[in-house]
Amino acid sequence: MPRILGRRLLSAAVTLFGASLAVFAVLDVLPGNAAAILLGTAARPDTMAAMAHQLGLDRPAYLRYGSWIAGAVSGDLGYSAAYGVPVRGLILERLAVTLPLAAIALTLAVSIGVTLGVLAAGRAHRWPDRAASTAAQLGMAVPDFWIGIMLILVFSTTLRWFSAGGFGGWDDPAAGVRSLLLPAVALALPQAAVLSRVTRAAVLEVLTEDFIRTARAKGVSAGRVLWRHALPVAIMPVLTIVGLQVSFLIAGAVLVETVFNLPGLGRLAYQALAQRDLVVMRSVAFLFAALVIGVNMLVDLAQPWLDPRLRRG
Amino acid sequence: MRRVTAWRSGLLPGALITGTFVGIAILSRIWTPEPPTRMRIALRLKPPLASGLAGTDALGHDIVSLLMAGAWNSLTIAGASIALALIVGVLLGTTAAAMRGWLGQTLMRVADLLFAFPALVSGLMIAALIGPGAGTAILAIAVFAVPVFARVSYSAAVTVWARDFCLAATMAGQSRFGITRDHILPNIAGTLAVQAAVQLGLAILVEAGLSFLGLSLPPPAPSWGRMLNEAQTYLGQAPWMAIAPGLAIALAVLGFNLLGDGLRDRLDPRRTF
Repeated sequence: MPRILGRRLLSAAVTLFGASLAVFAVLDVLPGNAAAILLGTAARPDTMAAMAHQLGLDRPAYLRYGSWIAGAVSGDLGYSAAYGVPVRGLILERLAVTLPLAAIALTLAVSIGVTLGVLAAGRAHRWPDRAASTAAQLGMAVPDFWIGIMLILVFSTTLRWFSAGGFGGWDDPAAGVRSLLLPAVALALPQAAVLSRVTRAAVLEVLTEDFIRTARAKGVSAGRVLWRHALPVAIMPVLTIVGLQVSFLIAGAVLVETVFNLPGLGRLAYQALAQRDLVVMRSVAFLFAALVIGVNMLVDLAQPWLDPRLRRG
Repeated sequence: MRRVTAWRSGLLPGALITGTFVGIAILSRIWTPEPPTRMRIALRLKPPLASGLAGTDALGHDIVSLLMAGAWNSLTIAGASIALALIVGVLLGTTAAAMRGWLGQTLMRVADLLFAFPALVSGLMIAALIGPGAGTAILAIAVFAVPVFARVSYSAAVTVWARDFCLAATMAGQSRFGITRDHILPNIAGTLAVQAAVQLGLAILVEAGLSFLGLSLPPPAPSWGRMLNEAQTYLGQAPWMAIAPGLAIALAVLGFNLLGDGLRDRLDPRRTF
């Protein structure tokens, strides 16, 4: 067990290092003169040189990379040229929107997806299964940001139950959650569709196993077999897919935060591009990559603890 | 094993929807009801049927014509990116399977690394480097699809390598490259076709997202994603501007997903979902 843990941690660390190199190459080395990008090519050469010095661009690339990583470890991510504030504070402020948004969306997606999947597996090839499959096919095809626009159309523009976007901060927690609700639903529905299909397939596979036949022979009710015997085993592949879906959740957050005008991390990355603020962008892009790598590692490591057969065996 | 008909498995509906989509995209090159980029300010924000089948947008563009021309742009960008990802991914995957050892492992780690970047994030990064445009969209989608093709072709190729006919070919002195070309590729082609259909659907979704953010084709090229972006400004006045492009995207993606499911039933019976 410790050997598997060690190997998994090492491989995640190597991937993380590669991701940081990729981000640095694309956003720092390849663009060439970041001072020219910020000031425009018409800037006077001495202004350009002063800016380059201020940004540390007169130092070689490996030193710049080193100080970025060293800074990241100590919590100093540099200074945003566009906002005139430290990048660290900017990211923390935006995380306070994006993390709760992702958490609500993930909770919704897992509860809707797993429930639908188990119900469909319990009545496989009959009408509830057909209905759930059709719903899942449609859910997977519809873009999350369009669901967002449609939710605004129905619940804000027409019914006026919710505001059409924006975020007032966490001073009033109820209002905060309320403004994240529609965007979270938009993010959750396509994910729920994917998860319901995976859950259905996983539960159907578990239902063919011997311990299920034993449970049925002992007279355990159909519902209990499904939810208490089959689901805990079937949740493993579902969890793996949840890990893989994090990448789509992040991509969705960039779009849905734009649709709902939420001051989140995805929107920050988008604004940083518009403002040519590459210092902000590299840290946000790396944070996103680190999230994908980290979540998938955790999912892998959690497998042995969650599988009831491995736990007791 | 239940036998599944072509209709139930999704093969037929998928092929029908996809065929219609490709047909409309090609038709838009020679005919649309109105020139898609012609502005008619007098006819701005007309609801469906008041001007054209689906109404007009804020500049009086005919929405049906925009959707048709948008289908071409969506299809070509998705197609180009998946073709690129297929070539690079299969090259990585089959090489890794043929080499094994540390070289193969290193190639697969490169694929894992690409997977860490969500498509929209690599889209933003590439746009920072080369500016928005079709090239940015194609690269961003490919970055996210390469690891998928690499993994799928690697695991499929490894199982084929374990078969007796590969051993026989090795004993007969055929090179690893030759075996990959003559035995591995033909045997994994079905699995790759299934994956290509599914990834095309995803590529259309991602392209719509990228063009919603203005990272794909610049105006005036009609694009489904940008239509949605413009529609949000007029949501209260002209909801049809937002409804039609979303339905077009969903239908196109649905077609490729159904096609992928149907092909999987036919060609790749091992996978259950």
